[in-house]
Amino acid sequence: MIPVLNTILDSVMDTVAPPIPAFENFMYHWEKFMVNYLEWTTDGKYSQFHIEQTNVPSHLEIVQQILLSEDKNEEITTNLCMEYVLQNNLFNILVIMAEKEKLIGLRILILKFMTNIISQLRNPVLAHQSIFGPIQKLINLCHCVFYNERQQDQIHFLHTLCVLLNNQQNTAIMFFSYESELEESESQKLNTFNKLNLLDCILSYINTKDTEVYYKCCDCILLLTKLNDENVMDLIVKNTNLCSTFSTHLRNLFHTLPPILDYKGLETIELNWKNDYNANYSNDVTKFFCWLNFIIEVIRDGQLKISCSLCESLRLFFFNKLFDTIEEFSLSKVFLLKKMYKASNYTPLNYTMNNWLRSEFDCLYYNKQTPIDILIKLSLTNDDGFVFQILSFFTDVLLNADEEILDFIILRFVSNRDYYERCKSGSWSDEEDEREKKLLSNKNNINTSRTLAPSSIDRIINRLLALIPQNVQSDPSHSFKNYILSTKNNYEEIFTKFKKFNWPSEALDPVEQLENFDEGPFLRMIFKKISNIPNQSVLITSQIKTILIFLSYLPHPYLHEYLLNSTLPLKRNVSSVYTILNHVLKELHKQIVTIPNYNNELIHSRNQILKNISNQLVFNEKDTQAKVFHSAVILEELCKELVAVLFVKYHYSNSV
Amino acid sequence: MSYAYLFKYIIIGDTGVGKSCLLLQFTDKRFQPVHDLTIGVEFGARLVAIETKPIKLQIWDTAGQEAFRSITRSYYRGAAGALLVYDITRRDTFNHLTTWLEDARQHSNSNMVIMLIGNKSDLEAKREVKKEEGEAFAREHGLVFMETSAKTSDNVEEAFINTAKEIYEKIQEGVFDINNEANGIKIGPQHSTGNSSIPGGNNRASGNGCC
Repeated sequence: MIPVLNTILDSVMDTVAPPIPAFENFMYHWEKFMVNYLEWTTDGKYSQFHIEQTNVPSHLEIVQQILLSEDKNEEITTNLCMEYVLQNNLFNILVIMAEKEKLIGLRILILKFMTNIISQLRNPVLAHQSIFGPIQKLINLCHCVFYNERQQDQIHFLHTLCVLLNNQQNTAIMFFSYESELEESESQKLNTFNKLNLLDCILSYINTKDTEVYYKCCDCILLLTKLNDENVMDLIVKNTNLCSTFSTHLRNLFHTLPPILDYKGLETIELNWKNDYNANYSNDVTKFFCWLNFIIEVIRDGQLKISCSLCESLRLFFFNKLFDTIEEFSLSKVFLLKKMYKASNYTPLNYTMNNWLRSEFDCLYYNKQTPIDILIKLSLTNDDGFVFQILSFFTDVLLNADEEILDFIILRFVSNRDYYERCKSGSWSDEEDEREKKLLSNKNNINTSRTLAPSSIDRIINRLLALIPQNVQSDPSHSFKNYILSTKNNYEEIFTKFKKFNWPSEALDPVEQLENFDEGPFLRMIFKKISNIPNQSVLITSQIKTILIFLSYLPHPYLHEYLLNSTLPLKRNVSSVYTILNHVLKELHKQIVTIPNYNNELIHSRNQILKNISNQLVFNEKDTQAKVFHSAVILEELCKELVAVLFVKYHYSNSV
Repeated sequence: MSYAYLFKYIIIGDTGVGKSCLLLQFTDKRFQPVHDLTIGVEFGARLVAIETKPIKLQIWDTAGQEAFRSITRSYYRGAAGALLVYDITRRDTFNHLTTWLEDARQHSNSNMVIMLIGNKSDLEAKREVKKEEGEAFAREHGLVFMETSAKTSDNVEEAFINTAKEIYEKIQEGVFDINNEANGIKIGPQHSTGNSSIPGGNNRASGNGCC
C-alpha cells in the first residue's frame, strides 16, 4: 500500500533475515496469489478490473520462478514445491480460474504461465493427472473459433506443447482422447464428449487471418503427424478430423479458384507454404497451391499410416468429388490435376492418384468411365489449348512409370502378337528365317533379342531415316549421331527403372488362337494426332513426339516390335506408326515444295524450334505456313530420335 | 519434511491388480474399493524411518494398460525400487510377470531393487495363483516376494518398507552411487547445500505490500 515502506521492509528483510526456504516461499506466494484473486472476485462476482491493475500476476510470477528454479537443481526426482503442486492439483485450480476468467486478462496470464512451465521445466511430468488434466482444459479453451483475438498466445501454447510431445513422444497419447478407446461406460463417454483433442484444436486455426499463426498451426500439424507411436497414429486416423479437414479445405480452396488460370506462369512455379503464404494478401490461387504444398509435405514426412489415410480421404472427398456433379473436365481442372500429379511425385499420394485415374466413376454422368477414358476422349476435341494440357498430363503420367497405369493405358492392348500377320507358307517370319541363317554364320549376334530384329535393324533404321525426303531435310547431315549420347543415358535410366516390371523379354507367338488386334484408345488417339499434324498446333505435335519417343524407349517386347519394327508384316487394318508418319510427311512435303524458298524457311524453322525447346517459347499458331515448316522439322527430328533409340536399344541389348 | 535420503519407487503390473490401491493404503492408510483407472502416471510420497533415519519414499504409480506402456517405461529410469504387482485371483496377471520383468530390467539401472507382490490376499476363495508359485518365481528371478492386501492393509507397510531397507543396505554396502541421481536416490536437504539460489526468496515484503 505504501511503496516506500515496502522498499524499506525489503532491505531490512534482506539484511536481517536469512534466505527463506524455497517451499515456504512458494507457499507464501501461492497463498497470496489466491487471497489476492479472491479479494478481487469476492462472492464469485466478475471483476471489471484488468488483471494488470492487481497484484495477482506478480505472485504468480514468483510461483513460476520458484518452480523453475527448483527444477534446475533436480534431475530425477520431483522436489517439494512441484510435489505439492501435483498432489494438490494446483494447476487445475489455475485452469479453472482461467475458464471462469472473473478478472479480465486472467486467462491469458494463466495460459502464458502454463506455457512457460511446460516449456522450461527440464522434465515436465506431462503424464501426470495434475499436469495433463489442466493442459487438456487449456486445449479446450484454445479453440480458435471462439477466442479469435487471443490466437497468437493460444497457438504459442499449442506449439510449445507439440514441440514437447515431439521430444517426449510416449506422452503424446495423453492428448488424443484416450478415454474413448479405453473406457466403455456411458458416463465416461459423456465426459469425453466435451473434450477437444489437441490436433482438432490446432486444425481450427487453418483459416486464420494471421500469417504467423498459420505457420505455427502448420508446424504443429507436422510435429503431430510425425509422432512415432502406433497408438497415437491410430487415434489421429480414427479420432481426429485431420483427414476430412485436409480434404475439405483443399476442395473449398479448389472451388474458389478462378475458371481461367495463368497456365504459363504457374507451369514452372512451385509455391511453398512456408515462403509464399500470406493469410491476408495471398490470392486464391496462392492459397490453393500453398495448401497443396503443405498437404504433400505432411504426406511425405508424416507417419506412413497417417499419410495413407490422408491419401484415401483425398481420393474419396477430393478427387472423387471433383466430378461428381455435371461438372466437366475443363482446361483449368486438367491443368490443376497435372500440377497435383507432379507435386505428388515420390509420395503415397502418387499411388493414390494413379489408382484414381484408372478407377471408374460411380456417378451417372460419367457412366462407369475412368478419368483416363474421359481424358482420352477429350483429347480428341479440337480445342488445341485443352488438348495440349491433356497430352502434357498424359506425358507426366507415362513418365511416372507406374506399372499398372502403363498397363491400363497401353500395354494391356499390346500384350501379345495380335498385330502380326503370320506367313501362310509355314515359316513364321522373315526375321526368324534370317536369324536362323545368321546364327550359323555369325555368332556375334547370339545374345541379341529376337524382338530387336538383329538381322533387319539396318533396314529398319534406314527406312525411318528415308522417311524425310532429302530436299526437305532442314539439317543436311541428316544424322542421328547427336542423339546417341543422351539417348543412351535415358535408356539406361529407363531400363533400370523398368527392369523390375513383370514384362516378357521376347515377343513370342502365343500357342492359342490370336484375336483381332486393337491398339486401345490411347494409341489410337496418338495415331490420330500424328495424322492430324498438318492441321494442329505445333505444341501438340511436339507433345506427341515426346510421348512417342518415351514409348519407344520402353523395354517391352510387344510394344517395341509394334511401334518400331517397320519390316514386320502387320495384319490388315492394323495401324502402323511408320505408315502414318510416311503419309503425313508426304502431305507436308507436298505443301512445302510449293512454297518458294522453302529451304531457307526450313532452316529458319529449325533454328526457332531448337531455341524453343530450351526456352519454352510459344509458336505463332496463326501462321499456317510456319506451322507446316515447324511440323516438318519436328517430324524430322522425331525420326532421328527414334532411330537413335533403336540403335541404342540394339547395342545395349548386345552389351548387357 | 527433512529426510536423510529420498528413494524413488515405481509400481508396475497389469491393469486392475491394485497398484493405485496399494499406494493409497501406504500413503493415506485407506482403501478405496472402486478406484478409477490410472491414466498416465500418478505419485505419492511418505516419510518412513529405516534404522532411525528418516527416508522419503517418492512413489510413482503407473498405468497398467498397454496404451501407456511407453510412458511407464520412461519412469524406470532413475528408480531405486520397483514394486511388481500381480493379482492372486487372476492367473493372467501372474503370467505376464515375465514381460514386466523384462521391461523393468531393460529400462532400469541394474541395481534397482524389485519386490514381487501378490496382491488381494484377502480374496482367498478366489485365489488362482498359489503363494508357492509366487515364491518360486521370485526365487528364480532374484526378487523379494510378499503377498499383500491393499484392502486389509496386510503386509502393505512391510512391502514398501522392506524394499526401502534393501535399498538402504545396498547404500551401506556401497552398491549404490548415491551421488548419481540416476540411481533414484537423493541425499536429503540437510546433507546438501542450501537453497540460496531460489528466486523470489527476498520478495516476501513486496508480496506483503500488495494485499
